[in-house]
Amino acid sequence: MVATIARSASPANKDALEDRLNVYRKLKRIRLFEERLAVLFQEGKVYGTAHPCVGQEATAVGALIDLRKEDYVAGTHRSHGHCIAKGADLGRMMMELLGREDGYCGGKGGSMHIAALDLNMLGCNGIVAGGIPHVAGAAMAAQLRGEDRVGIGFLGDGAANQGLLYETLNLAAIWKIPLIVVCENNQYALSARYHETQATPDIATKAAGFGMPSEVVDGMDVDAVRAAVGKAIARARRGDGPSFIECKTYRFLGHSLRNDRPKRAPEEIASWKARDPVAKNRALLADDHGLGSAAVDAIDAEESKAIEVAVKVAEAAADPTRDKLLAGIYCDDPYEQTPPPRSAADEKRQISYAQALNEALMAEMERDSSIIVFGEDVGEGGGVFGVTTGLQAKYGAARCRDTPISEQAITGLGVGLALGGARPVVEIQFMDIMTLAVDQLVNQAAKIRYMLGGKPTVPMVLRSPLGAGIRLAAQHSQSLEAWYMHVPGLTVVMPSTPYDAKGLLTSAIRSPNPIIFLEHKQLYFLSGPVPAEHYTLPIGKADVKREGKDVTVVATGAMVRKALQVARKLGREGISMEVVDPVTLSPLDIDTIIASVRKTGRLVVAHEACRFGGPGGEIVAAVVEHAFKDLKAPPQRVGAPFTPVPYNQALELAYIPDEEQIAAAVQATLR
Amino acid sequence: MPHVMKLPPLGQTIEEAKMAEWLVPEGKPVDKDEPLLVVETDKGNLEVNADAGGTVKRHLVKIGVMVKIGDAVAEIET
Repeated sequence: MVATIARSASPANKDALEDRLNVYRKLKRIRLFEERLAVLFQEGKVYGTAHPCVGQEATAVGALIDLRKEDYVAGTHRSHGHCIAKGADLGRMMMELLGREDGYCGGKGGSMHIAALDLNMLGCNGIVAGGIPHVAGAAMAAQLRGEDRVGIGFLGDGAANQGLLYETLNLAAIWKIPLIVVCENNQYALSARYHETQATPDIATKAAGFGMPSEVVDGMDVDAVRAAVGKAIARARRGDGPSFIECKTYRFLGHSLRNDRPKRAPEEIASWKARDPVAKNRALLADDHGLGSAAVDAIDAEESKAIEVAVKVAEAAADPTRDKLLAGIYCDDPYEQTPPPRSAADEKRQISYAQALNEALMAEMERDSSIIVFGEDVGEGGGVFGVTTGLQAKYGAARCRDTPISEQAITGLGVGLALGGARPVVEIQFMDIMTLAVDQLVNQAAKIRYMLGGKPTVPMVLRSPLGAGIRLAAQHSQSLEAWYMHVPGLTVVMPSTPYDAKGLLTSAIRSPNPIIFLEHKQLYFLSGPVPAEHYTLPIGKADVKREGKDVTVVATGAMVRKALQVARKLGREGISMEVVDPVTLSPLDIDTIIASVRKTGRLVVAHEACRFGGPGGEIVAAVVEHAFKDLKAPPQRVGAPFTPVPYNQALELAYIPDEEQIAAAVQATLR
Repeated sequence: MPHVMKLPPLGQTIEEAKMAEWLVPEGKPVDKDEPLLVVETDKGNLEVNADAGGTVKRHLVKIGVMVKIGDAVAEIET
């Protein structure tokens, strides 16, 4: 019937009709999908929660209908419509919502994390505004490769109160990232009304503060959204940078299928429903294009059938088997290994820890043009501790960039660059300041691979100095490595020697996983043997720094050097100490530690982090579990007292575990 | 014959450094790879490790003196 009418129309009308048909089908498909989902939820087949976008279909379709497949999209928690508008397969979406193995994310993500990576839909996100730096980073990675891809990031009015958004807008503006932020202002952040959460009548006005063009459009009008986003896409493709589009829209249903809040006046709902984009486009097709009501009913039936097929396929599909629980956390793909030319013991050349890191960065940037180094003051300044000295001069300001002071956005952009195929090496100036980026590290970088079904990789290195000893007081001196050891998906590396620092940073850059690379600031200017050649060292492998037979001392970071000094001193008194450096804290090479304790029968763990809740607890617990019968004495832990780091020199020195404490702990195991 | 330790190469851009501190006094034992001395460079203070184990027999350089890479700095009785 459709074809009959199209044939009778003039060519121009025919194009317009086909275009309108395409628009309508997508709007209707989203509407039907969400309505069917509500039924599945009521039937107990979809669990947890899901956030329907009924009423908001025009923003998804208008923003994405002219996007190319290679362009990137990041969604929100209310993103089924965005996936469908990007062309996602209904069956795989429905399977994901039912938690099936063949769903888009293997049943690991569910409604809030559906991604269609084959379509460059980078995923929905349960943390509002959390995906904006990802899509910015992916688009930037493409831009760095000379491609004209763009990224569209969606967010709601609630997310427009997240600092991350504004940090990212600023970064996107100064770096002219081809990003379009589409704000779906549906008037409610869960139950909070728009005017209760923002003082400006339009969110879009805020974009001007970042030097970015913006537009407010009627989000119920698919053509208006399409026109505004189309201009922004063209601008981004030209290389003129990001834009911000605010769409005034409305969700006809409650916040989620589980949560009907807030109570809204029936008149308010009715006034928005009068502008229903699905009904409006139906009328355009049936009346203006002369298709007639029966023809549109036939289209509706086709779309409805497609949804039912998806539901049937999903219901018949298998759940993931139990062995999938631990699959897809880390990427095990091999990367190029370059064995060191000589051991540290055989190397004559001595350089500082900071220089060793610098050599690794220099050589890797030469080897792989997708590596981009960025952070505060890392460019011309070379970083606070000089680790990035000379990188900008050699590789240019595009590949070694100073950033604004925006830890959340820097880290999130790193995640996006990694998703987009680049290799970001991010420097956070002090580990204490990583607290500002914890969402992007813990909820995003660490989990993206797993929650999106074990497919994407996030090859990002985040370097940061930690530790006390240079009188920087409580907010620039902490050792918080145990926090990140507790997060599945993250790798935590903490080298103690220049030799290890160079080899492990090289490995970290080549690794396909997100890696937190911790550098104790007291080590930067200590020297040790380092081959001039380029080499890798294995991540996840402990290193026995000194062999002994009476006591095992497991020491991390700056404590390794102290433990070795104690070993020398006690060695002269006839006590044979073995010093084991885990080097990688997660995944922890507990086997090497247990083997050492089986030999010595005694264990001391020394770290600079607070003793309470520090890495030592995990190490001691694992040894007790596996080698209890080999222990000749209770294990001892050396760590900082449970206090913030003080400024006063005597107090700071009292805070930092010293050689005497390590020696006393060793003696305690021998009594 | 005691072992004569020379100031090792300290990276591409460093040709000389100022002797700043002895970490192991004359007459005391030292292990290979144990920090022996501190030099000042334009990149900051650097601790340099002993390249052999034994007893530190003699410091060959006074504090404050400029030392070139390859200059003898200490005698170690191995």
